[in-house]
Amino acid sequence: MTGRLGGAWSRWVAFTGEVERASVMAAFRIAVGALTLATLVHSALGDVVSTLWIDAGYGGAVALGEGPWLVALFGGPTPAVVWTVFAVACAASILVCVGAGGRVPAMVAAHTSWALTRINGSAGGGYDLLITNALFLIFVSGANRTASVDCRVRTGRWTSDDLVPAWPRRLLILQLLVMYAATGLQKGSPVWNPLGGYTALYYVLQDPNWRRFDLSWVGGYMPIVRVATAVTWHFELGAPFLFLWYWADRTRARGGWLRRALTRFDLRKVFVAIGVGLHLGVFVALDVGPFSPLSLAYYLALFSPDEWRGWWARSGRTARPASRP
Amino acid sequence: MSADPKPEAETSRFSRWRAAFVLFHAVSIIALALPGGLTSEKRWASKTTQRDLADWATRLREMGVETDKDSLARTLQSLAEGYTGVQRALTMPFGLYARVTLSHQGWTMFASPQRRPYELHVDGRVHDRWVPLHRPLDPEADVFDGYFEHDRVRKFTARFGKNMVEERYATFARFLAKRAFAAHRDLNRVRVSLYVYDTLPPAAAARGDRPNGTYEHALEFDREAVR
Repeated sequence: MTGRLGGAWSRWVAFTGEVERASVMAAFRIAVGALTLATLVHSALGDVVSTLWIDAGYGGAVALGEGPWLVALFGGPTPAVVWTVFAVACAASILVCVGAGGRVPAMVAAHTSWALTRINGSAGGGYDLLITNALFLIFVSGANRTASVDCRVRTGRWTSDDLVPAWPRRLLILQLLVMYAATGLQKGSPVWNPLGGYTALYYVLQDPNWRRFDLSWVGGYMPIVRVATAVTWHFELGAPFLFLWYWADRTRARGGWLRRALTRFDLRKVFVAIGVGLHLGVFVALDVGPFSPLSLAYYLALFSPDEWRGWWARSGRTARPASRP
Repeated sequence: MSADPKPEAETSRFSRWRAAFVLFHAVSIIALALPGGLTSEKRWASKTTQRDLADWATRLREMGVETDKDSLARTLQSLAEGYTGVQRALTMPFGLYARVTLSHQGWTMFASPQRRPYELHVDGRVHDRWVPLHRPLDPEADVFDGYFEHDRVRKFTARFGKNMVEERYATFARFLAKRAFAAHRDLNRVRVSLYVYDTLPPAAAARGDRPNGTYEHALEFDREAVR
């Protein structure tokens, strides 16, 4: 038993010691930095900062108390404190996006943007968590090794083939799959399952708080709505099974019927096709902030840098002749 | 996941600490994502939960299981208490870590869709006539210039329908009234209310029927009172 545990631990140590090119984490860093900045700017332009993050005593809409520790430390949600934290969050997000200043901007962006959203927790959503979870993994990943200002300063070039740890990208995969599984598990209303006729999405699309436009017409397409509801719920609940595919793919050389069956086709492509479809549907029909683009940014991590590089090279080869006259 | 192994085998203390840290983070994500708040009295008392319970009881009876809403609620609450004990024990070691690294989890998204949704309505009285100042998705009634379209404002106002906090609602309503008065000099009174209705059955919605609802939590403000 001790021997088996020791063996498993050694494999885990080796697994977490693996390295890969930084390109995927860099792309993720750029996407998350840009989306964090866009979310902040959108909050300012939409009057959220001045009404929902500033206390009623200073012109805001509601009483907010002292706010989270970072805001309370400087005197609470007054205009001066909130706008200062906001400015720091924007600056840090820009640095994350362009890859300047090393690792620190990621944690600064995470803590400042989180502090802003926690001033009024009732105005926050799942995407705030996706942002902070992402920024921490960017912080530990070395995502600035390529496609960054830091890379340019260090090497004189914008890109490099420097290697970074592979485990932060793998934790992004875990984060994504755990998010789906957890949200699926919490869909306890009967309308999400066969007993309620898989009608949940009909009700979601009729909710005036979320829909972007009048969607009463979807009532005429209930078979499609039921299929979409079923696909959504089962996709979320089934997301962790993608780990089985990763395990089977990684240990393919050991053989066995289960591995052969699981790796017959690339399950990630099915996962991506369904997931992208769901998120695009949510993005078009519902206003839930940048939840869909942020989730899709995590999808970058599903494939290794070498796989992305291979596709890029192949698409380049096929695109070049076509572009010639 | 194909990644290049490092050229030389890492057996250093650092590599073991790193492995332990990655394991800790992975376990923390899973533990913290476990559904929480299941014993919240507010949650059990909410209209949405009560409706879900009633629906579950009906469905179970149709399947031959003898139960009703209240006994089902008692059974589930008892299970939730047991589960919450385990969930708290599992998440306790990660509390401080989550606060420092901001790896909080919490993924309750559309868990229980509103089948009796609320809309925030704002009306203003011009002379002796009430006119709509805000209706969702109605550009004709948008004195707040798209303010309610922002997703964070949507989230904020949606909470009033789910878990009403009277004091906060009153402060927000007063704020809206103040803005409406500032935007329209001819208003002498503003009313903020929640319009609640049952979502139409699909066929009725597709036919173009409009839901028939009632107003709750109506608050009226005089121009002088909100100065």
